Amino acid sequence: MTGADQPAELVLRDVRKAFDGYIAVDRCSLSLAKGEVVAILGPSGCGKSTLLNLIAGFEEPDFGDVALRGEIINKVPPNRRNVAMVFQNYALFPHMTVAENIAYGLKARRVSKAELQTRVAGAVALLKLTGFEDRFPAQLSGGQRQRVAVARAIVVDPDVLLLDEAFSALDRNLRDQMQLELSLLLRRLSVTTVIVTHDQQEAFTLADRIAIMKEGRIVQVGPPKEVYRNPADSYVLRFLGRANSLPGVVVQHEGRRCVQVGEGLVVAHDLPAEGEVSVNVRAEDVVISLVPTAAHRHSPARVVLVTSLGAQQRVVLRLDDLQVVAEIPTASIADWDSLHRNAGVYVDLRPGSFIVDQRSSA
Amino acid sequence: MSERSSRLSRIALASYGLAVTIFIVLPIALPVAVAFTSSDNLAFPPQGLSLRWFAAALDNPQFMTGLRLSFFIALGSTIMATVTGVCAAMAVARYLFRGRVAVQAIMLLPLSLPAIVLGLGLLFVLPLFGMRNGMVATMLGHALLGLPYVFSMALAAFSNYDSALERASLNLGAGATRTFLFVTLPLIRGGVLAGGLAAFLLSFDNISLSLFLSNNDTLPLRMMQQMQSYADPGVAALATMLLTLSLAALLIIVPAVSRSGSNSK
Amino acid sequence: MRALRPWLWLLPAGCIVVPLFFLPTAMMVRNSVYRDDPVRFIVPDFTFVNYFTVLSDPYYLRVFGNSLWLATLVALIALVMAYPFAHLITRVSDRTRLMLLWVLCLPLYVSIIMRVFGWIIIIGDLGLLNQLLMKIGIVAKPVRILFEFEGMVVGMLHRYFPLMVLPLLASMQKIDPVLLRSASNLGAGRLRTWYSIILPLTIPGAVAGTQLVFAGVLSDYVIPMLMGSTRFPVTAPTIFLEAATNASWAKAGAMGIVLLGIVLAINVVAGVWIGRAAPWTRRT
Repeated sequence: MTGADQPAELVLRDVRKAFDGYIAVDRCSLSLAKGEVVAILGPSGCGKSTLLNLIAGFEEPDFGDVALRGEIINKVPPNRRNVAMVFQNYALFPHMTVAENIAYGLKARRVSKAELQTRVAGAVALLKLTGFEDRFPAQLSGGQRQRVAVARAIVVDPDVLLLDEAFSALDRNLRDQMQLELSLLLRRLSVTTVIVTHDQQEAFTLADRIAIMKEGRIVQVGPPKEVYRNPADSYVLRFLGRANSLPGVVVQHEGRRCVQVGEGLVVAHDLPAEGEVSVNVRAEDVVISLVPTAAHRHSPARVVLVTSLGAQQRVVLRLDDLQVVAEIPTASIADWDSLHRNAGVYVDLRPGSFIVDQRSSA
Repeated sequence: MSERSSRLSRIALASYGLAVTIFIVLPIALPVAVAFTSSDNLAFPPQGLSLRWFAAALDNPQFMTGLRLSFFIALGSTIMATVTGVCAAMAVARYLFRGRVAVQAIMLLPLSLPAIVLGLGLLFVLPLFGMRNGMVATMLGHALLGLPYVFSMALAAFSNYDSALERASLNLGAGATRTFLFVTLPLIRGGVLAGGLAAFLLSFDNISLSLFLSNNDTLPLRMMQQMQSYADPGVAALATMLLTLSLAALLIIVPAVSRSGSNSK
Repeated sequence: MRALRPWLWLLPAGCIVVPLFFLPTAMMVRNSVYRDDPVRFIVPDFTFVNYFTVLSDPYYLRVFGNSLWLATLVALIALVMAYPFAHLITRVSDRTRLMLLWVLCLPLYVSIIMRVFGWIIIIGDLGLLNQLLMKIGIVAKPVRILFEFEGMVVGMLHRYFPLMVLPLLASMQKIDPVLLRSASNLGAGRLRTWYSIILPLTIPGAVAGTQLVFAGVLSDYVIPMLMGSTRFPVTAPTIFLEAATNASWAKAGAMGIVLLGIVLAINVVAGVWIGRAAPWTRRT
């Protein structure tokens, strides 16, 4: 159940929450070991924020339990749980200085003045906010505000740290930098953390395990690399990385069951789906070659557009009347001239990398 | 916080709200009830029901002339306040000029001036313009009182839509006047109506300025005199009729205001 | 010509504001330094004797003091009453909120005459309250509430209560609800959330409301005249008395300017106070 063989720190057991008939969280179970960082990943509306609210105590589960160190905390009000949250827009108190914001949780816990000052100073140093203690939130930049929000949460020494889309308010460069910093910080502090996000990069940078959520259910849990390489279904495959979803038909070819995509591409397939199917494959698993491959049948695919993504090149191809997006490492291109618009190339799918779904027949 | 104490505090808060509501409504509701009495006194609850006091109020020449006068004064002062207020709001909202902040503050200054100081001062200023007490003087005084309200509400209405709309109109060939009449005015209609209504009610009910500027013949002053001399339900009846009229006016205008507000942007 | 545009738009307002606002104010200032003459009413002069009288004579000091005391009392009561009411308004459903706001604003557009009428019915000598008290047996004779200081307080409170609630409500509604969630998440219970988050963030609204009520009560003429008592004279009716009855225009002028000065001072103090108590609202 847990990622490591340790007693579970935070356990969600069969948790269910509905609003006015709409089921936001549908029997989710999750177990975190102490110090583990788990990211709940999913599109907006999948129920991940509700899950976080259930852990924080802002919502009460209709069914199932939330347990902290073995103790069920369903009925414990949010201000009595030791779970600190970093909100999406940080929710810094505008009328308090940075130091007062950070001290707030400690004051509520009636920590002695001396201890409070020490701990606040510690958090300030840890989050590199020295010199900003007397500033007001309005005088801080976005990155600094995030640091204050994090400092405020960790200074109370929470049992669980919750991050609610904590990076979505930052721009790209700042986001990358802050994710790295926070990742190092979390490892240093060894704090059990639940991250909720729709950003794959955030989850991959920070988490020990990721949980993919779809329409209120957790569909796959595991270390990031594993979930990426072995997606449980096409939803997970499409959610992580850039994917194609190509219509195809199951055919018999040279004695084997295959899927035919368009007119020209036939690949081996041994999954149960029959008839009309969808082939889900990641862009990086679309193989381009200049000579015909074993999978190839008819005319070549035509290059429509080549876009540089830095270390990768995105190649948009036209395969019969289908559009296929491929990604190939820039360094692997020996002959750039062969990738001009309208060039003919041959396409294959890396075996075992694609997932075939049944398409509902008309 | 336990569930029960939070329920208790919710009930306490609701009861408090009810108490305050009763406090506010009672002095207004009771005269309405008393206006329907059939007797001569102000006893509550009224001993019998009748419409005689309504008839008496409508028959009272003092009331009726006062009503007519107050209505015209209010109308005149509202028009003046609205025209000046909207134009001033136009200046402040659409132009960046030196002294803009000061002008804004000055427009709201009449709100801070005690009416008594204004009234006394006007008494001395009127002869300078060859004016005496009367309808026109009162109209002017009330216009000044209504101006800040129209100004601030029109200003708020201006900030609710994009000034690019006016620029688009000019770009398409319409002149400044046409733009103002056919683009600007309809878009700020809500704020103008709200401000105008406020100015009208302010003028209609005004006592402190009318004392100085009129000949003691506006409706509120007449009602005041009546109340001080006779204290009979006739005043209540008249006041009830006026209340009904203003409520009716509100019911018509408020939807128009909110409609115009949702149209813009 | 372009630069003149805004001023053209301001012209109509100027035609009203200059002669009807600045001029009368200037007139009052002028009057205040003129002299009262028993025979010819008011004579040109340049003297501060009126100010001297108005600010040192015990009678006038008492009048100002009464007004300030009345204003303070009404503002305080209104403030205490307004907080829970505003809090309630933020928590109810949209429809109830509209209704509450409508009720709240009733005193603003219902004629004062009608309200005084209502007070006569309720707290007059023969009014409901007295009837109730006598029936229960607490008092033997009717208690004089109306036409006394207490009656004035009630009348003022009723009239100016909305002016306290509305700015307070506005500042309460501006509080991001996420802040309250965050406070709770960090361990604050209801009480702590109230005084550490809600109260400080509503100070600007409270100060604005207090300023409006204070200035309003100070300058009010109608309510003291209709519901007050001669034993508790306040500023505005006294000014009227001096002018209309005693024909002491200069003295009335001085009193008026002093009143104006107090009101303006309150505005300034309120602004400074908000800046100090709520430094986060200042633009850095």
